[in-house]
Amino acid sequence: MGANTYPDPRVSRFINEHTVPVQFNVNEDVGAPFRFHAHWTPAVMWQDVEGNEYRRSFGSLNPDQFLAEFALARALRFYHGGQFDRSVELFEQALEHTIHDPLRHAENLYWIGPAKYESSTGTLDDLMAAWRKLQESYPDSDWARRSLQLKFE
Amino acid sequence: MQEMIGVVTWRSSLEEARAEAREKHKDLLIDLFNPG
Repeated sequence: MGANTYPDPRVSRFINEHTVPVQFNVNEDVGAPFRFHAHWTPAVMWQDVEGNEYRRSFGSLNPDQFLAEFALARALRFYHGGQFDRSVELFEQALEHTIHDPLRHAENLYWIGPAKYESSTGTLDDLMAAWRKLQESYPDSDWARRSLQLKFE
Repeated sequence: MQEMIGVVTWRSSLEEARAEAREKHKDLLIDLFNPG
């Protein structure tokens, strides 16, 4: 990733705009995998300043995969922080980065449902509409299967 | 610290990065790598 992904100007711009990046060489800092509970590299983690981790990724990502991961990470940060209206905006923006990535696009479509449902104007119809779109677009995906677990009395 | 376009300036101290992130209202991106 150091050779191909991080030098990509789209990637570096995203990183610099939203985060302070920290890097550990596990050959020199042999304690790092233990401190971060991450024994496979490359490992990328997103944290707030309190140390709350809101996403991690293992394995090499090309620039497009990284941008999709990053976009989902940002949206999930606000969702799990209870800022649902902002998370809706960011999940919608993330579509630009996940659209050509079936794995992450399905995840993106999944999370738009809960984000809209929890938003200030959200309804159950918003959740169901988002998940219908997911089920139609990626019927065999893990995320679609998760969405089908929701049952109403 | 001035960031250059197309360049990621990696920090090496988590504590200092966290303080910088707090000051700039940013989050942290942590990368563990093995140069091989």
